Amino acid sequence: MILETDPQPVVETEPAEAALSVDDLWRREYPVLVKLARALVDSPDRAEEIVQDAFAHTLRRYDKLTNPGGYLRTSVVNGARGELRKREVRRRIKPPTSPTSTPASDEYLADALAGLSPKRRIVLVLRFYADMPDKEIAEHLGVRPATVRSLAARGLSDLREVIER
Amino acid sequence: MSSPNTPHNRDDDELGAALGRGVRNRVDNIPTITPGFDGVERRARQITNRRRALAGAAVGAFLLLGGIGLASLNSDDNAINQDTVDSVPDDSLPADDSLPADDDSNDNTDDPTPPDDSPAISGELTGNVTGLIEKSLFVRSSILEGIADVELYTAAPGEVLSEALQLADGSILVEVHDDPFAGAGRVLHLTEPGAEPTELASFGDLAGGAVVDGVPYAWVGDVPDFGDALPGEDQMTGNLRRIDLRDHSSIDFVEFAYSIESSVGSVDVHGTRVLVSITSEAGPTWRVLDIEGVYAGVSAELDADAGANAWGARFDEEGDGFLWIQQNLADGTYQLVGGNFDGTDEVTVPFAPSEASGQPNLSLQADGGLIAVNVEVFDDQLRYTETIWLDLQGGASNEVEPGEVIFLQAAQTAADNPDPSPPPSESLDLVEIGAWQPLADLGLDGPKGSLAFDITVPIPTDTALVGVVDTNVVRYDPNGTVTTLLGDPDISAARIAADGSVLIQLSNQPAVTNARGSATEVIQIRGDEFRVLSSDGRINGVGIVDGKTVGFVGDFPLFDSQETETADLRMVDLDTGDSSVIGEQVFGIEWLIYEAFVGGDPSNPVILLDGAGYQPLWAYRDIDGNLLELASPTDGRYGVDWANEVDGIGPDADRPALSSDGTTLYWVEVEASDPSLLTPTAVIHSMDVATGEEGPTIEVSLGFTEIALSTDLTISGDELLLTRSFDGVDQDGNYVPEYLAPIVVELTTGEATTLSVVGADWHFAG
Repeated sequence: MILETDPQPVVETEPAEAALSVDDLWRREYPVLVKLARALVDSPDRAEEIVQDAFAHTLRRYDKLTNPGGYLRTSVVNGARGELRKREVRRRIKPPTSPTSTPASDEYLADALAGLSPKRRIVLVLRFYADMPDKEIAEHLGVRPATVRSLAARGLSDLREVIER
Repeated sequence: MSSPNTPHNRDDDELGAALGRGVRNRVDNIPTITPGFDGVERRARQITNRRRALAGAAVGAFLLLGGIGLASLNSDDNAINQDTVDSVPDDSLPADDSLPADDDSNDNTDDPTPPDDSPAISGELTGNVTGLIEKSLFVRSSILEGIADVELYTAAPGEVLSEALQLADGSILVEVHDDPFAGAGRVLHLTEPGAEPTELASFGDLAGGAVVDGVPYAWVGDVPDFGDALPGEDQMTGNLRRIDLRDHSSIDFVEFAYSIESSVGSVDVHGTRVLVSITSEAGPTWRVLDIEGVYAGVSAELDADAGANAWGARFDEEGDGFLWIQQNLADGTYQLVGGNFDGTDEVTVPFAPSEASGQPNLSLQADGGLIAVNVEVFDDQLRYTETIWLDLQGGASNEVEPGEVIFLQAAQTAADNPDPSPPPSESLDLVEIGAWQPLADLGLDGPKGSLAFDITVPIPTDTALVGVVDTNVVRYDPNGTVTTLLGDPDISAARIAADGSVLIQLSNQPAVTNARGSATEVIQIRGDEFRVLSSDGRINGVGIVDGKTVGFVGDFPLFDSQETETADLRMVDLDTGDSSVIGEQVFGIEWLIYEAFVGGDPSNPVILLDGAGYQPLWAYRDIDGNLLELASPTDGRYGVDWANEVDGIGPDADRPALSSDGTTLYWVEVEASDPSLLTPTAVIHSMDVATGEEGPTIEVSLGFTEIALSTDLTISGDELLLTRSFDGVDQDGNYVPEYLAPIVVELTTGEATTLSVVGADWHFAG
């Protein structure tokens, strides 16, 4: 077992990435992606599952990928989207409880993410936690940058509503 | 931390930075343990195993309706005898490559967008049994435009489907109770949709099934008639039969003392060995037999003094031991117990269903070391199945499968009302088109409200428009003439077909607020006659197909407290009244067809269906309803990716439309020219259907600051009609759509003209 200590949230894509062994990719990306997945789905257990699933998918087609790191990250984002969509079903019937942390604190904002639609949540996390440019977020989500901007604006608006509530 | 994205307004940046800190604090507080690399490969195997188990779990997860009755009946005595048996062999499962990491995505080798399996619905069983929806058994298969359910069997009024399992040959075994509180019922063998099922037992317990050496078998316990006997009073001999499903011949497999309080719980097969569980008030007894029913020298029973209930039994992976679920009666805790048949190496894994407030109904599947336990969980509003994955080597984890949420109310309907309403299949039958009747008999109220239209803008088209203004159907001709055709408070939508027929929806909901709303009568008016095209449906469009003027009508199912129902989209010949089914839709929260567009070669036209569910969904079909491949610049998923782009902007902001010649697909995306979204712009996109190449976009200012704006597109020739609506609020505080004047866009020049008549449901006539 390796205890991960690297605090960097996102790994930059490296040109020589395709030459990385799966083992190297695993060691380099796993802890970072687990953190990203945690931020997206707010569940350590599910985050690990999502990342492991993404690696399992990547492993099966590793030889054919030119950018396995990018593939991995997109798979993680997609896995998180799937998880959040599932939660949406329950949320329609049973709304989430209000954040329990102190209003207006940073943690309160993190709690409030749970009340946002999956796409808005993902865009906010990728932009403000992972510090991704809109263009890169758009690529991960398969949408246009303008849509990312719109989703971000709406997500922030949603957060403001929660704060002011 | 500032974001690399600029420019933003300062408030947004500050809020975003605070959010980033909050998330970072949370995430960084949890150390990440990185397993060794072999974990990747192990995970890949686990995924495969989990999916195998999932395919089986789906069966157990839906043993709800019969379970309700039984659970209610047995709620005081813990005498659960509803074990679920499952046997979903490997070859009944989708290949790993078809399994998505993202539910929305396809599996293209180098495309990081993960996959989605998409078998078309056919007359064959293509999916796994996934649901007992109210009283119907469905096989669910993923198809490109969403989820469709093929109905295999519909229980008669008063019947309840209790158990179901699918074998490796694709056939399905079900148990149907004519009394929701009965512990046994008819056991049926289904082989394909529409085929007459074979009755395997008239009053029996479906105990299990499996394919052994290529032969499909079912095990059915015949339950004797106890008459009016009370529990403990009577005991008779019961017989467990093994039935060869190829010819439905059977042999007596095992005979046992069958009392009111004991029954065959389950049968599990490993190789040629069969594990039979028999439940009784004294606890479960397990015996291992060979495939011919000969005792194989292994038996076990739960110690009567153990102070526990036990359910379910499965061979372990190697077949030299077995697993079961146990509940400690003293404290109510649960354990998965596994051990070898020789009594060694017993392992106990405790687990705790979350939020459980009712008596759990446990079923269990074991495969490859991961064990799925399905626990029915009750709380105030929900009854759902929680799947808990247990690893005998490593403890337990909980995972709710929200897709398996079932409304408690829906389940109660079946239990509390043995004969509630006609089965859903009635809504799936082709609707008989009503006879022509005098229009006067329709009892329309005639034009209402002020019709003093302020026509200051002529229509820059060659085609008339039809819309609903106030509660009147209005025809808006290019020369500026506005004609009120009909009026009635119940009119919610209207179309004019090429033959001059007027199609209207009549509902008891307020007009204009219901253009996309609930089901209504769909009426065809021609001359001074009318006829009913659907007694409970919606107009989805009009067009010309093979020289015939047609209307598209989406029939609504009989909502019976269910979450979803399937129903048909019909194409109706407006001359003869003949209709044919060209598509299906799943009502409820999943899939609903808003509009059908016809285009292309008139003798071989194509149809674009615009629908929505969790995500906007479009489908492209031929006139027989077959899905067509649509060239796509992304992944061939019928516009979903483009539609997804606008998800979150507005519920209707993705509307696609098909050009009259069928060669070009248009859709609209509402974009904000600044992040505050105060000046939305409609960006009309186009794509060549054949090549997938995107054409130039046309931007149209929507000229309105309401954020919750939605739009619709319809096309006639080179003109595109863009309608606009937004969320208003009525006097009771309810959100209702409010409409703006439509905009006509000249596709060749991009010129946009805002008309002056405000109304709902505008479309081109004909």
